[in-house]
This record gives sequence, C-alpha cells and structure tokens, in this order.
Amino acid sequence: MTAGVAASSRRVSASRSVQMRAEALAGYAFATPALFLIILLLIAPIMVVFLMSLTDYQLGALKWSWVGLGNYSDLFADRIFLRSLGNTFIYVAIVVPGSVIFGLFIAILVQERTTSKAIYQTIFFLPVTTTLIAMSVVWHFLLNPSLGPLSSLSRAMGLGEFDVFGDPDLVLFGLAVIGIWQLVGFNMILFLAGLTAIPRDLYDAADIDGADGAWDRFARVTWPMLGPTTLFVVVTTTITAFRVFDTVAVITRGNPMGRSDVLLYTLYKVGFQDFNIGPASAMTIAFLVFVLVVALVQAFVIDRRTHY
Amino acid sequence: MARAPIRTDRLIGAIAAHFFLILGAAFMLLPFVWMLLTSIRPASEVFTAGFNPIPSSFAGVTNYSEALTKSPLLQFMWNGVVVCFGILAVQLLFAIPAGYALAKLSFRAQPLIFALVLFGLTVPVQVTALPIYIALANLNLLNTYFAIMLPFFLSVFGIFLFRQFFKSFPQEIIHAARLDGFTELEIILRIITPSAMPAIAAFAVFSVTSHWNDLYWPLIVTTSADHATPPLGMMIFRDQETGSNFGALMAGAAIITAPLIVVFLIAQRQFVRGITMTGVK
Amino acid sequence: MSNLELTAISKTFGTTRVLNDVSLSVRDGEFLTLVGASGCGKSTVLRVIAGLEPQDAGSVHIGGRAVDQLRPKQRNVAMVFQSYALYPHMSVAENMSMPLVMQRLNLAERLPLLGRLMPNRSRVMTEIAAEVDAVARQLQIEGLLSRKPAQLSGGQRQRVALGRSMVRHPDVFLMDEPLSNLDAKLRVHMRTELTELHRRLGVTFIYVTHDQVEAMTMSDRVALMDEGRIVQLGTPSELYHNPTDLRVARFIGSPQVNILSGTTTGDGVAVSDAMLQIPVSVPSGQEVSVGLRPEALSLDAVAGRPHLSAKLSHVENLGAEVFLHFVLPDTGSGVVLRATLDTYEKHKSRFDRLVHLSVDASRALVFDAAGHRVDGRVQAALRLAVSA
Repeated sequence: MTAGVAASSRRVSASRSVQMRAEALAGYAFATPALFLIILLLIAPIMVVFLMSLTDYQLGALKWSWVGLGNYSDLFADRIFLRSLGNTFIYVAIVVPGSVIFGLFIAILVQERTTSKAIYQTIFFLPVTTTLIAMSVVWHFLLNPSLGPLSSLSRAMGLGEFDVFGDPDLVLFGLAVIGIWQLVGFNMILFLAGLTAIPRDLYDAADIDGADGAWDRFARVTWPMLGPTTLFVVVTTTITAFRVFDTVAVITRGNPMGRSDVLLYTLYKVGFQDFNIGPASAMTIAFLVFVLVVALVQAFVIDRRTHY
Repeated sequence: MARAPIRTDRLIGAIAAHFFLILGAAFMLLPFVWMLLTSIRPASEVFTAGFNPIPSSFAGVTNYSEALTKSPLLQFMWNGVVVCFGILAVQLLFAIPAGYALAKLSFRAQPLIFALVLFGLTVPVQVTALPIYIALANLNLLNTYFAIMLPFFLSVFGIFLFRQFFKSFPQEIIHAARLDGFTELEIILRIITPSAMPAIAAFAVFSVTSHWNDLYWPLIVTTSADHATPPLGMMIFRDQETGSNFGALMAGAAIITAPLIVVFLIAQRQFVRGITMTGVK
Repeated sequence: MSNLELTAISKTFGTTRVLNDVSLSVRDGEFLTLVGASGCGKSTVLRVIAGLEPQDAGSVHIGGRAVDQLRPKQRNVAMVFQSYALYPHMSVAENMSMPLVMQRLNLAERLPLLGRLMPNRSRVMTEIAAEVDAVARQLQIEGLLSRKPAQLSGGQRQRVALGRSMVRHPDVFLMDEPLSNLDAKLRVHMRTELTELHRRLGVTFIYVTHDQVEAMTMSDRVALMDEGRIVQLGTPSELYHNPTDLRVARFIGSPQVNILSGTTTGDGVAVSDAMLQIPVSVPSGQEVSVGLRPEALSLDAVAGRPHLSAKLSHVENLGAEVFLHFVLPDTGSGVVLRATLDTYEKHKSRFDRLVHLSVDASRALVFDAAGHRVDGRVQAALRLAVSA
C-alpha cells in the first residue's frame, strides 16, 4: 500500500469515527430524557416500594422501623389477602379462556366475511374503547334483579330472579362477564392479524388432501399456524385480567362479603385508604411477582408447543 | 353446457356464521342500546319497564339536562381533555427520540436502555403508584393536573412502538441526509418525525383512549371533583344519583362515553394498526 | 389413468373475465403445459380442474366422468403449488401421509388424543407409513422423513411436495409453477427430474408456467394462453415453427423472434429493402407483421435469397456463440441474429458499414394486423389450433 492510499484510508476511518461519535452523541442525547423518566418513574419507585415493603411505614407517621420480611409473612397468613388472591385467580380463570376462545371464534367467523367484515369488526371492538366505569354502571343496571331487562327476561322464561352482584357465589362470574365483554374485541383483532398471515395455499393443499371440513381445517392448519398469536393473546389477556379493578371499584366494592375483593382493590384499600404503606408495598411486590411469573410460565409452556 | 351449481355447503356455512356473529354482536351492543334507551325514558317508567324496549314518552331532554346540571359532567370531560393531551404531548416528546435512538443509532448504553424498556412493558402502573403518590403528597402536589399526568409521562409502550416503527425506516435515507450535511437533530425533526405520522396517529389514539378511561391513578390522587377525570366523574355522579333517577344516570353515562366512541369511529384504523403493530412481532 | 376434458369453461372474478370459453382435451398420460404471461388465466384453469374454484360455465370431465359437483378431494387429482404449501408444523413424513390419513381414517380415528384408542388406527397408520416410505425412496428423500419443512432446502421441499402428490396415485398431476422458486441451476436439474418422473409414472401431468423454456423442453403438447383464452395448442415444435398467432411467435423462442413490419405485394411481402416471395392469403397493399427467427437470418450470403440491409448496433458474446443486434436504417427496427464465433470473426471487418443479412423466406412467418397467420402454411397450422 502506498503512503497516499494509507493516508487516505486513515482519513476515511478518521471521518467514520467522527461520524460514529456524532451518532453516539445523538443517541445519548435522544435517549437520555427518556432514560431519566425511566429512572424517575419506573426504576426508583420499584426500588422504593421494595424498600418500603421491609418497613412498617404509615403515611404521615413520624417514626417507622425495619421489619425485614415480616410484612411478607404477615401477608401470606392474612386471610383477607389470601381470599383476595383466590378471587383474582378465579376471575382470571374465567375471563382468560372465555375471552380468548370467544375472540378466536369470532375472528374465524369474521375473517371469512367480505362485505360485513368491517361492520362486525367495529361492533366487536367498540367495548374495548369505551369508558369501562360508565359501562360498568350500565351493566350494573342491566343485571339489576328488580329493574334490569335481563332479570325480566329470565323471569319470563321461568328461570326466576338472580342477583348477580348480590349473590356471593355469582358475583365473580358477573364481573367476569363484563371482563370478557370488554376483552373479546381486542383479542379478535389480534387473532385476525394472525389469521391473515396464514398462507392461503395451505388451505388449498388441505382441500386437495381431503382436510376440507371445518374441524379438519381448523385442527390441521389454522390452530397450528396461530401458535405465536395465541401465545401473545393469552399472555396479554392474563395480565390484563389480573389487573381487574374498575368494575370492582364501581359496582361491588369487594362485596358481598369480600367475595369480589380482588388483588388490586385490596391493595388500593390498604395503601390509599388505610395508608398502611409497609404492608401495601409488600402486596405490590407480590402482585408484580405474580404477574411476571404468570407471564413467564405461559410463555414457556405455549412456546414449547409452537412448531417452527 | 352444464352450469356449475352453488355450493350449498358454503351457503349453510355462511348462514351459520352470521347467526353466531349476530348473536355475539347483540351481546356487544346490549349495554349501549339499553343505556341509550333508558336515557330517554321518564324516571317512573324505569321501574316498570322490564324488557320492553320502547319508552312510553320521550324524556330525553329532562334526563340529559339533569345529568349535565347535577354534576359538573362537562368539567369532568374538560379535565379529561387537558390530562389526555398533556400526557400525549409529553409522551411523544420523550418517546419519539428515544425510539429513534434505540432503532437507528448505535451507542454503548443502547442495549441496556432497550432492556429497561422491555422490562417496563411488563410492569403495570399500579406497582409504581405508592412511592409516586407519597412523593407528590410530600410536595403538596396532590389534586393537580400535574399529579394526574406525572406517572404517564413515561410511556415504555410508546418507546417500544416507535422503535419497532423506526426499525423499518430505510437506513439509506438517513445516510443520504448525513451526506447532505444534516445534523442529527435536523434529521430527527425534519425527516424522521414527519415520516412517523401513521405511528403517531396510532399511538395517539391508543394513549388518549387508555388515559381517558383510567380510574386507578386519578382515584388516588384526586380529592376534589373539580379535577376529576371522566371515569372518576362517573363514579361521583353515580354516587349522587343512587337509586333515584336511572334515566339521568344513563344519560350521564352516555355523555361520558360519547367522545371516545366518536373518536373510535373516526380513527378505527389507527387503533387496529396500533394493536397489530406490537402484537405481530 | 384417464384423460381430461374441459368444455367451454368461463370464469369471472368481480368484473374481470378471467377465463373465456376455454376448451381443452388432454390425452391419457400426456404432459401438457399451459404457458403464458402473468394474468392470462393459466393458474385459474388449474384451480378449476382441481375444484378449488367453481367455474361459472362449462364442465370438467376426468376419466370420462363429470366432476363439477365433486369436491377437490373426490376428484383424485393432486397439486404441487408454487410455494409448495407444506404444512410447517408437520414433519416430512406427516406431510406426505396427510392425503392418505384423510382418506382412510374416519373422523373419530383422526382425533388428536382419543383417535389413538380406536382399533383400526394403528394398522392403517402402518400401511400408510410403508407407502410413504416407498414414495420417499423413489424421490430419494427417505432420510428427511423426520425433518420439518423449515429445515429443508428449496429443492428438497419441492420433492416433498411431489411426494405428497404421488402417494395418492392421482389420475392427474397438477403443477402450478413448481420451479419458479428455485435458483436457475436447480431449475434446470429439476426440469430433467420432472420429465423423468413423468415418464416413469405415465400419469397425465398438467403443468403451468410462464417460462417458455420449461414449456418447450418438458411437454408433449403446449397450450399458450392469453387473456383467458387458449391461443394455440400443439407440440412445442408446432408452436415454434408454425405459430398461428403473433402472440405465440413472440412468446416462444429465445432470443425473441424479430418482428418487422412489411407490406404485401403482388407476389409476396416487402420488408424494409428485402422482397420475400411467399404466398399470402391477403390482398396486395396490406400492412403485415413479418416474423423472422434469428436462425432465418444469416451473415453469409446465400445465392437467390433476398437480403436486408442493416447496421450493427451491438454484440452479446456468450462464449461459443454471439448474438448480433442490428438496426435497419430505414425503419429503425432492430433484428437479432445468432452466429458462431468463427462466422463472427469472419465478418467482423465489415461491421462498420451497412451489412447484407440474407433471409430464408421459407422460414418467414407473416401475420395480419389482427395477429393471425396469413402465409402459405397457414391452413396446416389452423388445423392444429384448437381456438383462435
């Protein structure tokens, strides 16, 4: 290599490193504000919550002390917390299969339509965007045993009256119906995206191979190809269901007899009504851990069965 | 020459499909329909109506005006507007550059920041509520617009969305701009942000909707009705209205939900796009 | 093994008439190719035969029986798709077993878990496995049976798709551009393999492609389609030497045929400065298109032959032969000529001036303004065409 070429290649790499430094500078400049917010609003609070969970701090108190893992052991011995946890699990166990299956079913039906597709999509997605509080009030009225139309209907059909939100055995189910109502449209959209990604050729090949009945097409082409989508839908639905709060706060407030007391509602009461910060922080950490564990477990289980 | 017959099985399939779809659609629309019907019913009839959909007289005006006067519903809506657009503005301001940096610029801390963003996606907002509340309480900033907006200034979802979007932006355009002498700041202002309009629209719709509908945080930090956001306002209104006038109650609910429904009907496509953009990784 | 008969098939999608009164008679065991540009309707014909699309008018007969009312699986046809359409979540063996599984197990036996309890199932599955194995050996993919499609190369996937078709011993093999997704070298190799396969199996193959080389080298007969109609049906040789339509002449042959405009005269056609003495069935003074394949032109002067004056524009050197591109000065039209390297070297020095290209008029193809063949051999050509 002649001196000239060597010099110019050094110039090139020099200018490239100037470029790279400019890029890196810009990168830091653009990302740091967000990083600052991440630290301020995400990392620091989580660390503070964790620390607070190790104390018996109460808001406004002048003295507080460290109690180590005392809050946690209290928590898991606390009847109210365990009941709340149980209720939440029951709620999730109803809402997740309900909204996922319902959403998938609707997506498959809507996928095939041509002219009516857009209308159905709009109708099913509408509940997702509405203000749940307002619609909860409406649902409360709809299911009202003396005034609601559904009660009149069941009376007329000879099924008698049922007080969904007053009956301890039915209340979680009633809340779950509202939960499913709100989530179906969202899941439908996700499944529709997944369904559209399935190559049409596969269905043609299946037709020729003889798998042309609705069940065979679903079992041998649709369901296997929807693997990643199903995973995503189940995980997001589960996490959303775990965070149920609005309907409880508006309709039942945990009643009757605490049978609709859910995790976040208990957390709200302990933390923001009783201001028992220590225990509330422990509950928050527990909540976070549950959400993460559930998401990871589901991701693992379903991911292993996805063939690619 | 034989004419190919209509496949009867396809027809049966279509009829069955529509049957289930209409059933499902009825379930979806039931609350809306009932809400509207009740909102125009006179108060007395509510107690006797049962399943009969047709109201005997039109009481819409009374119900809606009672809703508007009994509680400051319009104030609630205004609060919603201020809060949502305030949040959105700050979110965009922070998330677009961050998303671009994570997508297109290389710097040492990039993987770390992206990992933090991914972590943040799994953390629900209720987890960070306590400490932020305490801090605001100690600073005497409760019950202000700022307090309501603060936790949401950070949108990891937004950063993630824009990062995904910018990932597919052609690198050559950026190279060409640099060669033309654009500074990095100019690139992001004059080239990147305008190109991100579809993603911005999708994100805006998503963000406004979820914050308009948020109850948990406003419930915690708002202590007086004049700062209440729509969901909180609905609760306040409902508590005032207990047991008496369901017609007015439903009218109030209708007023509260109306804006978002209108937004949704106009911006449906952005909604769907926003969801599928992140769902289909 | 049976023949295939399409009678007056028409199909409209929305407002587009995709197939327009298509009739075709395929002989038993024949390799027939449908060739044409994108959008000409060839794939639709295949789908109508398979039953994937119902036609709007007309009928399909396979082996003498009408199949219009039958679903695809009942027609005993097999199809290889351009994308192969292999089930990604199933192994090669499962892919290939699929048609047989659907045929021989009933619904109960096919259920995911409970099906295994059904008595007949294991016996049938063993049979199927043996058959799949036999076909896999024929295609030399027996070592891949447990792999998934994502782990296979393009050529291997193609064989699996073929295998899946072969296990059902269909009456007709339908192939929709099966070689399009392969790279050039592999494509050439697979052409031979497919022809071999056809010879061995002796079953009717209906092959769709836009590549005229595939059509020419592999088929017994070729049907060229354009805008939903069959323009000409014949052997590759007939389509090459005796096209009945300008579109056929243009599509078949590489390098493409030279088309020059000419005018009919009393005893032939005048093209540029050459006078071709060919009997034509149109009166004198008409505008016609004259097709001259590269081999109809020569650099060496031949006694008695007319010549075209042209100027060399550029040369494409392919190694053993060259393509010479000339321009006719009066019209500006171009012609392409093939020559061996020696011939080229011989005439090289003359290329700075006007060159005389001698024309073999007996090979000239004359078409009227509508694109129909009008020179001497037109009668014979028309007898072979199905529709025009």
